[in-house]
Amino acid sequence: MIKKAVPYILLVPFMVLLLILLLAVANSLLQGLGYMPVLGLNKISLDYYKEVFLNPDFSSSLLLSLYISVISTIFSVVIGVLICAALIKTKRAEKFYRNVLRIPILTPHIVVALFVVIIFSQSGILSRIWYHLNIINEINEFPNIIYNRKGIGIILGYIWKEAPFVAYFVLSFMESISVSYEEAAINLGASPIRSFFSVTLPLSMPAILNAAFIILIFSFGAYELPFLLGVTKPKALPVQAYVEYSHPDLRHRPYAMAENGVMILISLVMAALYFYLWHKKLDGIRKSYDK
Amino acid sequence: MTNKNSIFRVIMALVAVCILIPIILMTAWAFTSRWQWPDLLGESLSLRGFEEVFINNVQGFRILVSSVFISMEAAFFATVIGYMSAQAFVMYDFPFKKWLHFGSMLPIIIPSSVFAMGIHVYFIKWGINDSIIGVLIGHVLYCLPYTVNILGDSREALGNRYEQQAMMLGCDGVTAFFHITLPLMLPSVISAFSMAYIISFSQYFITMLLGGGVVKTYAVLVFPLISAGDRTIAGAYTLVFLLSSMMIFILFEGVIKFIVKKIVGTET
Repeated sequence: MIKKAVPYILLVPFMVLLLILLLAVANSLLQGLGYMPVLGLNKISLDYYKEVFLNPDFSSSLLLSLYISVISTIFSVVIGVLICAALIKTKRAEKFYRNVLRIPILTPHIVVALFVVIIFSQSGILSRIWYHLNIINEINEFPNIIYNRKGIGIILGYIWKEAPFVAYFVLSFMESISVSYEEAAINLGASPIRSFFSVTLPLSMPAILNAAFIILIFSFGAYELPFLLGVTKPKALPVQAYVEYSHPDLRHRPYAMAENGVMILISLVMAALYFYLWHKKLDGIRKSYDK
Repeated sequence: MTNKNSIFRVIMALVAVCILIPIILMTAWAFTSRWQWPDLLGESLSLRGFEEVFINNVQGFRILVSSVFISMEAAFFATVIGYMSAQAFVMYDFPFKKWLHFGSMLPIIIPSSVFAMGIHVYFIKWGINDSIIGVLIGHVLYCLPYTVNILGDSREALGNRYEQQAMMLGCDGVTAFFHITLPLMLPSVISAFSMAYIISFSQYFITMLLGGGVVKTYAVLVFPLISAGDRTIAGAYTLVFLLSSMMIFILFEGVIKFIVKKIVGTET
């Protein structure tokens, strides 16, 4: 009987932490529904969620966050897969490149924000180069790449950090496929490009999708980059939610929690989408084997 | 063949340049006295940035050291708990296993800011707000998906064979663990530890909210300086930030290589 309990015993610390996380989620959802006994709010109500959705600031924050995460994920995945393919084919200085690729993964987001500022701000290096190339004459002629309403600086920061992550994540997977199946296709007469796009890429999709969803969900909910590189309006959703959370009137709290609740729901939808696509992909591969 | 390979080499070189240039620029900013627009080079070499970091700001160095300790603790707990959980997920079959395994990935889905805001009231209620315990709980939680993943893959690859063999030869479970499984898992353990260290060291929101300004980590210290005016000081602080995150990582890599050499007897 003790033997049967062993895995559960091993999982006790993990389960305690998981419970704390679930408590945080439950609390966010409940408070978002207006349930705060401390303040005498004992009724569940959708009023706060309604108010949140009717607020134009909220919808522009939500759209901005979605825009930033989708765009940065698409670019990071495409560039990351490209880097991965190039890395596999590069035999010389391979070790050097692999180590260089790890640097962005080890760099904290806060530092990445400073990088973006140093390079792309109006007083950054790009602006100075443009001055010397006579493209601009004054410091404020340089366009607002960061601190701009489409969050371009934020997207650039995410790409710098996430593309190498995708490359690294997919690397061992793609390498094993490349060595076996891609070479087999080439031996059977396919051109290298054809064999990459028809063999390696589709077979690497599980790993690529996995990486894509990790960075999609992360960039949607992260706080640091959008705060450091964003404008006053619209703020990205996590930044907006914290502003509401810090409101001096505690009766404003359910409002903040409703925004957090929306973030939780959207992240869960993204995760569910991933699982659905993952199983579809796996089933597709399995079916093609059964034929 | 040479033509095709040179395209890939060009791509990789471009990528390396894109990765290294920001770091070089930041270092240049950290070591200059002034660097006014539109100059392409700083005015002069100067250590005033580092003076600010290490001498003027007496707190600064102390916070750096305590941050290293905090992250080491977080990494330690994340690795131990991750190992135990990985062992359970990989080596056993039990009811709710799939659900619990999904639960270990939950911190990747729930943003750390949402978690911190959600649990804040309860930490206050339990008296662990503004304390290291609360901060550690948050850090460990957000390192767990990575440690469980890294250790799980490795545990699965290692399998049970060596342990079983030893036990057939008369050894007991505990000895088998310490003399066989653990040494073979050591590279993966250290890899998980360094990953957890970096994640904890980079954490901002959890430390900021749950630490409440009482628990100060280097990340929390550096954060407001990024958008502030003086780029030399920001550069100096972030250079130290970057180096201290990487140094531990590089140190541990060396340790892994050394251990693997000792066990396997060859270079990896």
